[in-house]
Amino acid sequence: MAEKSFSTHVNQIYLPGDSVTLSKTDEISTVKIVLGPGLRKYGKQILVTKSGVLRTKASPATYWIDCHHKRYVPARGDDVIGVVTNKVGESYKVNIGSSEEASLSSIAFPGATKKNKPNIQIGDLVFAKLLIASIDMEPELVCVNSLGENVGLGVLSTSGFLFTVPLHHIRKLLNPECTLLKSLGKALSFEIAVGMNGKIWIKAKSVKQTIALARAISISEHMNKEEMNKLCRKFVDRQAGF
Amino acid sequence: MGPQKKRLLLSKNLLEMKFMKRTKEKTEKELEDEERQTTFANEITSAMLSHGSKFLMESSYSACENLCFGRMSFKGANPEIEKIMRRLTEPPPPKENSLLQGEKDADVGAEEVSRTMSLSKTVSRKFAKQSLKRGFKRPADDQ
Amino acid sequence: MKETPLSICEKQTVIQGVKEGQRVDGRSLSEQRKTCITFGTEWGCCQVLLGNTRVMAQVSCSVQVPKSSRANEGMLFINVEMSTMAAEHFEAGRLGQQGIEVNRLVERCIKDSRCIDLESLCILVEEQAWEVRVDIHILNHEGNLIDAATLAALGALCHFKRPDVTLDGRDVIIHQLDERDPVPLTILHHPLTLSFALFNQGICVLDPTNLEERSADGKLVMGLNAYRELCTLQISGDGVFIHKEAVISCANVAASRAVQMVEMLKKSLADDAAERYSA
Repeated sequence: MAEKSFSTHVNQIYLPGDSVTLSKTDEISTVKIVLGPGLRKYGKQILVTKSGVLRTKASPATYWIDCHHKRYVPARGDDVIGVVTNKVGESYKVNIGSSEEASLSSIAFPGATKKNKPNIQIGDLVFAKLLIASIDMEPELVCVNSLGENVGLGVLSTSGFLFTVPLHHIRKLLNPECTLLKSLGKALSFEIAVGMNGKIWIKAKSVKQTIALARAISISEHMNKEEMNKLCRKFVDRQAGF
Repeated sequence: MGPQKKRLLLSKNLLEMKFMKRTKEKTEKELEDEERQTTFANEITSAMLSHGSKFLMESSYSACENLCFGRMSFKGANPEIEKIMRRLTEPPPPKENSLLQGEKDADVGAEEVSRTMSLSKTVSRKFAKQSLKRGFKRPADDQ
Repeated sequence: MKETPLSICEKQTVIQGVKEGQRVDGRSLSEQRKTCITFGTEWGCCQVLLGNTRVMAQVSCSVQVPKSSRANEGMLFINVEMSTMAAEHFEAGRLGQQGIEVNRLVERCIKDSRCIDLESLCILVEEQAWEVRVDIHILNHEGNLIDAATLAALGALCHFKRPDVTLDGRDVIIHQLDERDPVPLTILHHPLTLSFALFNQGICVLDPTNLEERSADGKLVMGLNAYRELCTLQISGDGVFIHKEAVISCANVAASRAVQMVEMLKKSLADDAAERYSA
């Protein structure tokens, strides 16, 4: 495979094993370059490990491979939604859709102490941040930031609904340029948690509204901005007609 | 005799005080970094320093694509989350306006002070109690 | 790998929605997902898409010695394979409870209903007969594997053509496909299954998704053909309580759907034949 240069081949399709060389400006510059998912350094080469499209971003210079995934591989710093499956001593076992279950300490909640623990049942959902995500270790979740503050993580109400979408759809929804959730939020009162592991929890005033929102979000997978706006308008009209 | 040795160490009691919270965090972090450097100093080779410094590995997409925080609430569905959302989306306050800045840094905001210190609530509670005793109900409670 | 457990809120929403006559994917209670039947380039290859559930069936045949108990009949063998890509909890080489259930129900619907004329598969009594083998591959699991698997198996059997055979005294001549046109199997009727998920208070939901199957109390599987004849009936689940009237009303829904499905299958077969003829 002919070597492609970074800057000129952005937005092109790469396959695992392809190598990418830095453009001249990046080679010379002393600024740090971030290699995101799908790229790894191997000796002096940069190799592609996932099949997908090469994307880039400036400041800090970042390169990554954008690809279609359905199964989640834990990454440090991701916010995920998990199902509590078991309680072992002081910690909970949480299924986040990865190959191994994650653990969540019962004192990793805002305001929790040894004596004052959150009340969590098996089958409950938690929205948590991945603190440890290493291939050799059990993933570990937390529901607080480093200062022990409440940052919107924690147990999700059982009256909502959980559904799964492909991982690239999650990235599309959380992109700052995506207006779908905001426009839906202008029409209806609802709360939502979007996990990087492909799970979306949503809660509106009634089951009917919750299901309607969940459907609107899942069918927008292959839509562009125009189509999403059209979907929103249609959705708002239909809600008004209820 | 490095510069660390000469550094002024703040007393433990002082660091425990509430207004020293930020300084305490800073010093703790510095100490941790130093410790890390000394423990791994003989394991880091020159090749690692020259090669590793150019690239940073990031396994999360959320950092690469600047993704938004996934927990959201709209139209008052969960006021607590909306508060957090506002905090995340609001641009940092301008530095020139020192008066407002001081207000933001204060542990108790002016608004909260006015809310808790004002007598309006106490008086109304008192009034409600009295009216209950007399067998009256406020129209708002009447549902 | 373990299957992701069902959370409380998923189950609650599904049950609450069903009570209100609302399904999670927006269908009505007796509405099927979009069904798509396609055929491969080879004879006897059929792929069925039921919503996002994807099943492929491939029919093959070989000459075997018939069973001594049924000396004048050919044989039909049904085999189910669950791809590990279909769902996270499927294991390679092991069917598991779900796989065995699918295998057995497809067998009951297609083999036990005698829709294939096995006698026409006999070449020489007690000596040679065709063994027809149906390999069903589950490619993606999004619920209701049984209906998709039976439809794929039936489609593949309808599409399949075996090499022609002539007898010269007691010598059997099997003709190559380019020598003589292959012959289709004799299909006497077209049995299909239609599954319902059973919820409390006797609510029946046609063509359940994976989530609905897991939230439901039980399952009702009906095997029917286009003549509204019942071939198979199975009710499973712990302590399921269902009224006689509910079963009959389900059967009526299933029968009318079965007629439409068989029509659709015949149309897809005709379309495929026309495409092959023009090409």
